[in-house]
Amino acid sequence: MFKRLKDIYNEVLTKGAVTEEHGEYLKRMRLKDFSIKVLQLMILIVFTVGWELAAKYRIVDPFITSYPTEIMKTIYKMALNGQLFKHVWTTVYETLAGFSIGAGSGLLIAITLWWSDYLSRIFEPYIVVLNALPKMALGPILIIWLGNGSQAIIGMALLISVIVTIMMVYNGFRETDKNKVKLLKTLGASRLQIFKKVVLPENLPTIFAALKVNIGLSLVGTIVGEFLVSQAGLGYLIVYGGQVFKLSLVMTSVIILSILAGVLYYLIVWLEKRVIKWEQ
Amino acid sequence: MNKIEFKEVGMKYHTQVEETEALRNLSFTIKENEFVSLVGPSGCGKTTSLSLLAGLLSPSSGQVIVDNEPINGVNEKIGYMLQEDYLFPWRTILDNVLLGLELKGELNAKTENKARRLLADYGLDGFEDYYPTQLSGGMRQRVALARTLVFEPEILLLDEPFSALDYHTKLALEDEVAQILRDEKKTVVLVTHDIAEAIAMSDRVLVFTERPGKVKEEYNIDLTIDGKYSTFKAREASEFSNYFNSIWEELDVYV
Repeated sequence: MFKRLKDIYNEVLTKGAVTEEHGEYLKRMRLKDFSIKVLQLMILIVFTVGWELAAKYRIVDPFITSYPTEIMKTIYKMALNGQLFKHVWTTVYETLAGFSIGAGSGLLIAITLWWSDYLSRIFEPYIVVLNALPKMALGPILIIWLGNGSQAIIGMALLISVIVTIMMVYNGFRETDKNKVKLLKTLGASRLQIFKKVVLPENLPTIFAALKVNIGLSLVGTIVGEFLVSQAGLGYLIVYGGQVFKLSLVMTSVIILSILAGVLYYLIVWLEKRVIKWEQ
Repeated sequence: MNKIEFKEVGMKYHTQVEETEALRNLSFTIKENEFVSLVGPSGCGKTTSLSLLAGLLSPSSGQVIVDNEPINGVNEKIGYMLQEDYLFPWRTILDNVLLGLELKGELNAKTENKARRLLADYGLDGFEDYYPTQLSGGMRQRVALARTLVFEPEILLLDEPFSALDYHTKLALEDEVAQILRDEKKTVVLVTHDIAEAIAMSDRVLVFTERPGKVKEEYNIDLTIDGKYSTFKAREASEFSNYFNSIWEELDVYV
C-alpha cells in the first residue's frame, strides 16, 4: 500500500520526463515549486490564526485590531444586506473609469507627442512639472469643479494615472528600433504605417507595463478621492469605520481592497498574455 | 545601359556642434544587372551612398540618378537589406515576408503564393507560421532576403547583410545569395568590410577613400571559374589573391 502511494508520487513528479536524469531534474524543480506554494499558504494561515488567537487571549486589544472571525462575520452580514456589493462596485467602477480614461487619453497624448517632435519639446517642461506635482493637492479643486460625487473621484484616478502613462509610453515610442523604422521607410511606408506596423506593436510590452502601474495608481486615486468626498466605496467605509471606531469595518475594507487590487492587476496580466503571443 | 549614376555627389551632415562631410564629388555609374561592391574604411560614406540611392536622404550637392531620372523621395525600385534581419518578432515568418507587399498595397492571393514559394525555395517551407525567435540566424537572414525580393525590386542594396552571422553561416549564405541574385538578374550594390566577400560576389569593386568619401580605385573582377559559378569556386580562382592583395594595399589599413 505504502509502496503504491510512493509509485504514484514519483509518477506525478516525473511526468513528461525524457530520461531518468531528466525525471530527477523535473522532480527537484516541481518539489521546489510546490514548497514555495505551500510556504506562501502557510504564511497566510499562520498570520490569520496568530491574529485570531492573539485577539482571543487578549495579547492584542481586539477593539483596535479586530480579528479574522469578526471580519468574516462582517463580510457575511454586509453580503446579505447588499452593502458589500454596493461599496465594492462603487470602488471598482470609479477605478476602472479613471483607469480607462487615463490610459486612453494618455496613449493618445503620447501618440501626438511622438508624431510631432516640435510639440513634444514645447510641452516637455509642463509634463515634467505635472509628473512631479503630488496630484492629491488638486483634490479640493476637483471637488469644486466636478462636485462631491463620483465624478471628482474618477477625476482623481484619471489625474494620477494619465501623466505616468504619457511618460512611459512616449519614451517607449521614442526608443523604437531605428533600423526597423528605416526598413519600413525603404518600403515606402507613410508615418501612419510606421506607427501601426512598428511603433505600436514593438511598444505593446511597454504599454502593458504602463497599464500595470496605472491600475494600481488609479486605485490609489479612487481611494484618496473617496477619503475626501463620498457616500459609498471602500475608501468611504475605511474613513467612516475609523471615525466611529469600528475597526472590524476598517479591516474588512482593507482586506477586500487588497483582494480587489490583486484581481485588477491579474486582469491586466491576463489581457497581456492574450495580446502578446510572440514572447514566450 | 547605366542603371545608376552618381554625379559629383556631396553630402554633409549637420549637428549642433559640427558639420560632417561624408561624401565629396562622388561619381560612379552602375550598369543594369551589374553586381557592384563598395569597400572602404569605416565612416567613409558607403552606407550614406546606399541611403541616397534609397531616397532616404537627399544629396547636399550633385545628383543621384536612377534610370536617367534624379531620385525624388523614397525610391520604389529598391529593396534594402540591412546588417541584421530586423524581422518583426510579433509577426510570423510568412507575415514578415508579406510586410513590403502590405505596405505597397500589393497583397493578394497571387503575391502571397509567391511569398510561400520563395520561402520554400530558400528551404523554409514548414516554417511559415513560426515566429522569428524560433529560427537560427542564417534562416532569419534568408527570410529577410525573401522579404526583400518578394516585391521584385529592380535594384538591391545590401548593407553588410552577412556581418552579424557566424563564419560558416556567412560563407554558405553568401554563396546562396550570390547564386539567387545572378539567376534573378538584379542590379546589386553591396557594402562590405570583407574584401574576400566583395571579390567573390561582385562584377566590380569600388574602393572608397576616407571621409569625405569618393571612389579611389575600381576593379573589374574577372575570375576564371570552371563550370557553374559559386563563391567557393570564386575564392579558388587563380586571380583571386591578386585582387585581394591589390585592394588590401589600396585600403591602406593601419591598425
